[in-house]
Amino acid sequence: MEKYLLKFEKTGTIRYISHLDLMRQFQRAFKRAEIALAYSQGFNPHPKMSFGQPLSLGFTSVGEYLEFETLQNYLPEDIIKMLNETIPNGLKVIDCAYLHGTKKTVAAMVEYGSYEILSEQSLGKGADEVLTPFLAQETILVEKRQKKGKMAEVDIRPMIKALFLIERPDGIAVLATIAAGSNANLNPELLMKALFAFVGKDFENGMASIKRLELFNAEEQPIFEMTKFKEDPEF
Amino acid sequence: MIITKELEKLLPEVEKPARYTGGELHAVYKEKYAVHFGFAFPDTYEIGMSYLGLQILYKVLNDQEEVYCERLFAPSADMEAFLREKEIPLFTIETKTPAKDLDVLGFTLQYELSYTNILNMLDLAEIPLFQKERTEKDPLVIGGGPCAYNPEPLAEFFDIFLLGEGEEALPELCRVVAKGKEDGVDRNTILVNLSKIQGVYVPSFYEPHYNQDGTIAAIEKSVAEAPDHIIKRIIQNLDQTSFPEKPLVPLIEVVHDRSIVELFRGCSRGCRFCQAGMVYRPVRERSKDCVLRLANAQLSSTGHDELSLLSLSTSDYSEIEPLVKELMEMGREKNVSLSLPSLRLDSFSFKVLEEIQGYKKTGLTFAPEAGTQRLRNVINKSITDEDIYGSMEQAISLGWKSVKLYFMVGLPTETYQDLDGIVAIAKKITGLSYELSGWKKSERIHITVSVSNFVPKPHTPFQWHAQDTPEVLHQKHMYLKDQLKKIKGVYFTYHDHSQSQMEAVLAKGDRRTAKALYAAWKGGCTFDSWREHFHYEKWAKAFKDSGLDIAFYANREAALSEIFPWDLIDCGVTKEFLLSEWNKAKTEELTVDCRTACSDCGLTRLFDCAKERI
Repeated sequence: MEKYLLKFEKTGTIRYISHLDLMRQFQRAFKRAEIALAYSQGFNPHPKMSFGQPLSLGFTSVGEYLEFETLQNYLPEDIIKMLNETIPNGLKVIDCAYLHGTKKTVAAMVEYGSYEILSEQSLGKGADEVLTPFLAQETILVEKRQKKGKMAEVDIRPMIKALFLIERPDGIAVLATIAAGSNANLNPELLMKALFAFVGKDFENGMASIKRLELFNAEEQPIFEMTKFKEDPEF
Repeated sequence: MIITKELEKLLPEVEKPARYTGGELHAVYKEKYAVHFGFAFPDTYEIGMSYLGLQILYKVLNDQEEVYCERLFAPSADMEAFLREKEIPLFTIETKTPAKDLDVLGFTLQYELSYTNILNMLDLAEIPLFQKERTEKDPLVIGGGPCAYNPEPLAEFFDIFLLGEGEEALPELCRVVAKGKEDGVDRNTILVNLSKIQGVYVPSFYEPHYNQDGTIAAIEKSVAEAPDHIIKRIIQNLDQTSFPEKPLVPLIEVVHDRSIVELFRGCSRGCRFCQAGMVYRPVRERSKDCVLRLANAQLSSTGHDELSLLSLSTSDYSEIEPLVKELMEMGREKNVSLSLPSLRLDSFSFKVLEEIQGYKKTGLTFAPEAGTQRLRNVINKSITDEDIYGSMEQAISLGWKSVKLYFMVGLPTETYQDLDGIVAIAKKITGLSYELSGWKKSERIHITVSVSNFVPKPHTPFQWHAQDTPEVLHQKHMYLKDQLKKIKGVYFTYHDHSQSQMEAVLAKGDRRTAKALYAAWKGGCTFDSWREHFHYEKWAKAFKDSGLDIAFYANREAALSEIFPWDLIDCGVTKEFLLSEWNKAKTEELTVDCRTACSDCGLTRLFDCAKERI
């Protein structure tokens, strides 16, 4: 049994598949690549693999994570090669390493995500004019749909770690590091809604392309860093 | 993967956008070709992508150097609304080419209630709906599949129908189209040239004339070169025919997403209600080695975790036992589960099912089709009461907890005694279950009695039969419901009676029914095969406004001498044979399985039939 962490991209039109469908794509890719995954025990055995943090349908990403267990030992560089030969267009493995010295799942470690949001809508004001007062607010209340369909107000200010605005001729670019994970999670679209609401405008979903750049742990290290301490399991 | 800026804005707004993006594993992208072909499935992506025929023809066509085949599906209501609002014409999913710019647009005709979707797709594509309104710049609109055996209700909307199997005929058709393009000949000349290919039916070359009573007096040919009868196409040797080894693997969940190998075509049983059993003759098997090779290739190239076999009657495959053993071995090695549809419940099947399902027994399905031996003789379904109870006894003692029984109501000669027979079967199985489990209530088997309504189909011995009216069908459903309610552990489901009537009308309709079909679509009908989208009152109005009588098509018994709209089409089985079967049905006389003896269905006039010699 061997544990690995995989870093991959999800770009192009495959961004329109859901988290569940993405899971299926990877399961099949492992099968095609003939990488023997370890299976859970029990009545419904399923392959031992899980994602770092779900990505909303429609977002692209260059910093997605997948951890998995295999029955045999494979070299990480072989795994990269074997998977990249068979995964559908738009998915690309960019790194792979043994995952050791941690009992926590990757999903439990993720605390923040950084995003690049390109919007064709303009704020109508200078970036500096907006950013400082926006972040200076003690609370930023937004309406959020709860699981049961009810709307509730949440304060997203504590969930914003870093925020940059860049004016562009056809809109704005937003770079944001915000809460992502099981403890707290801020959808970048919600952040955009709050930002546009701050200047008295409505943010239209679908008018922005959103790319996740990286996922971080509580110490604000990129998740892949955790594989760097112990390169080889045997020594 | 190609995607337009315009589409990019729409996709996040629609449900399951990956239905429209393409880019699946094994999708084909070509730059140089002479003929641009669109394979259109008139239902949603999830249904179309589950259809093996799509995978077969996609491969066959794209294997031709001069052809590029792309796919199209019926967009869902949300996408349709956007396409109409933004005036984006319907496009192929691979390269987003507008369908109107294709050379050939080919619809697969799988079920009658998809016809309004075809009209809707043509409309969304901005292609003139009526064949006679199309000009040189429009694609040739062609259709094939089981419903093409009576394509008359669609005749005015299509340039061509292709009868029978397409593996050889479609490439031939594309070559004629390519040659026509190269020579710069006009549309009509291409149609004349195409009509010379066996299996091609150009409806505009024939004109029906009607009697005063509405029946057909004669079908007249208006183009001398066109054939007098259109003979279907078949592939004689399946092993030598191309079959998908690298099927498209959808990016999203579809209805059936698994590797699938076709075991054989045709069926030797001769059930009199079954159109597939008549028109897909003769039986042609794929060799065991070929099946194994294809299964292995598909599983390796797709990464599927399920493998299924396809045929009209899996248990009839000559080498079924050794094949299943080897497939189960393959499944164990690859962590793949095996699914075997349409198994006969004999002892071998139980052994296999026991091994496949183990402690996760998912339920058995069983299709006696009719409640009494008498009626089963009428329909030539060779299952006896002993077969039914014997299988159920085995199932119960092996630990199955639920069984689904399929029946039809409205079969020719049916009486309420036959319905009582259905109830009796359910009752007896419940009794068996009590008895075998030592009268423990918790051990009782759950029975689902699922009833569909008999729809008479062209090219079957029951093509002369008058379907029960929706009212009569409804009464029968209610009767069964009342009777079955009294038995504990029995669950009853039945199919919508008015939907079945429309299915019959479109199955047996003539060229005039096009008017009602058009009116129904204009009136807002689409996705009629989805119960929640089917609106009988809209269809009834469409027929009334078109001056057509629904009952004339569905609920009238035809005279034995009647000329049918589909008489032009030769499916291999002769009308004389069908008539003799109809007569035998009325006297409850059985016809033997083709594997036992040849019943002279007429097929050998045209094709080799291996089973005749066994």
